[in-house]
Amino acid sequence: MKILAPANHKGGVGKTKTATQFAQYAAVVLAEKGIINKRVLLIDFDPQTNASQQFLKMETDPSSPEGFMPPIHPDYSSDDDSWNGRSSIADIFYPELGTQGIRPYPTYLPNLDICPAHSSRLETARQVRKSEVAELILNRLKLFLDQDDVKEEYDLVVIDTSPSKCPLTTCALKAATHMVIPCVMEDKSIKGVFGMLQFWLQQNENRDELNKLELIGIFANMYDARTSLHTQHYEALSKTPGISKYLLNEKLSRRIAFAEVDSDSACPKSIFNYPDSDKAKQEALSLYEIIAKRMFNYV
Amino acid sequence: MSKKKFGISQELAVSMAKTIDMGESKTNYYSTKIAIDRIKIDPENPRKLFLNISDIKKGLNKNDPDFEKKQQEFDEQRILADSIEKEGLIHPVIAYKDGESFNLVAGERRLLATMILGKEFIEARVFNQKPTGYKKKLVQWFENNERKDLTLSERIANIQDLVHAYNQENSDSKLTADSLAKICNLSKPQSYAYLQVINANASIKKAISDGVLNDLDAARKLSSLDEGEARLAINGIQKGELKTSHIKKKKIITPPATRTKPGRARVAVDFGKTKKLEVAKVVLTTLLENPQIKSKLTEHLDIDWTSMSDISDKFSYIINLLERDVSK
Repeated sequence: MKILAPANHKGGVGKTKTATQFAQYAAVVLAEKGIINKRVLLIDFDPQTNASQQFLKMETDPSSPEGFMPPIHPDYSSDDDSWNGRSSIADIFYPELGTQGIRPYPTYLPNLDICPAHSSRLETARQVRKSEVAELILNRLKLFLDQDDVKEEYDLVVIDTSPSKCPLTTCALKAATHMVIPCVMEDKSIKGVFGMLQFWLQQNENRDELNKLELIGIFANMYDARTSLHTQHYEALSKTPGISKYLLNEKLSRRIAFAEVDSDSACPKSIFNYPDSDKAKQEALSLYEIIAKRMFNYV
Repeated sequence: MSKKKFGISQELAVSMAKTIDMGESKTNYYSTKIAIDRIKIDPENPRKLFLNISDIKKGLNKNDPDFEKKQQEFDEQRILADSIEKEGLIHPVIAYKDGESFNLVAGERRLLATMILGKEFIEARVFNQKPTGYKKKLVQWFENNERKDLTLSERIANIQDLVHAYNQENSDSKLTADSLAKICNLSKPQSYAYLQVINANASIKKAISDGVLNDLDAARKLSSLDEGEARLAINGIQKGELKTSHIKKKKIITPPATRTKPGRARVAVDFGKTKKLEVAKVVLTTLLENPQIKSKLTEHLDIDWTSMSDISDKFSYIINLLERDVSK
């Protein structure tokens, strides 16, 4: 089972977009090619719940008015006393809920499931005291994904990570097998790339010889080829020793179609249902194909 | 207005390049698919199978002296092949590039099973350099650890090879339990246990290699016993009279032969009781006729055969006589 985490400490660079789109790409395109034979699981590990809101009608959390929680699970029956009908990935941090298990929600794609976020619970996990972090937080996602029933069900897991340097991000990267770094070709985002490279290095210093976190690459997101800002930053990166082999040629441009598919009333729901002539679709297909090839090693 | 110029600072570029370099040195392999035709078995790896690549390609030959063993292995590989076909190859094989070929470091069974499926390519982790010495043993340790059927004997052998290889390469700093725990992803108690068992006496090592002992914790506890006690305990385990949970560090709780039922262990032999004077008389007169006991008695023993108390006292007297004799 492969586990991909798009990651960058800088917010707003397109981590959620990458996670949700790649999960859809895998569930549709890779499944058609036979690269994916089981199912794809998308995990929303960001308290902002943006990924969850793309697929589920998240509800406001009474205990945290600015936050959201998952809706009642479609499999829940009101005469079932064993759980409250809601399940989120944050439940891994609450062992007392362990008996109900983590129940992924189905999405509009037949072989794509989502473990949604729960704002207040993930926020609580993010703010755990330093002394308790290692035991309570850091290994929990890996432990969950290492379970036999999860591996039997899914070929691919995609984790939408939180932008900040916090225990949740570390927890996600500890569980991941592969990492990709979306980057807007601007100063702060590029510095975020450097931060993620250091994170990658730290991760691998603590992993055994055969389970390293593989860096798929860095790609330009929201790229505007008309601006010197973006083109020159991209060129500078491509000339930086060591970086060039990781800097992908495939880019995602700043296109309105990518924002439109996020809307609740979007139709079609996915960029991959746009006409083949659509430039946004073509860019997405090219980028995710290269990411998939580097992950799954197919020709 | 002068033309805008954007880029990355020299400092940032150098830092990123250095971080990539260090990151790559920690990830010293790349994942890919390699053509099976280009794979060779590493000549330095001792082979455990009779079946080989040529047998799969050409088919088994009934005139081969190892035909039966190869057939059995083929049938086992067939089961693995079915699993790979159903689930995919969960763990890529491990190899390193050697000219135009790839030498297999680990994963021979997976390779043969994939060939049985008729596939031309196999997923592999290809090391940038040939893993040698202790690094190679470390790779094999992690590889082997994925196997559910790995015996304690195989794990001990792996760790022993790893420790030996490390100590050879680092003559001025031997591998400690703490270091072993870190590099092998073990807990400290596990690491200590492995090192203790590696240095255990011959009977424990034999019990492990014979499959009598397949639990690390039990082996660790037995290693704290002396040779005689350990052999006794192993015999008890083999006969099913002693469970490994009965063994505490430094001592066996109960010798296996006397432990017949749960509860506190006996510390003395109980000859039984009787309420019948006639029975007591038969037992005591039989004892008194024993030549060894007769020779000990310096005077005639007057016994009141009507008194349970007197018979009991005389019985104790004889036991004490014999015990005094034994302790000389």
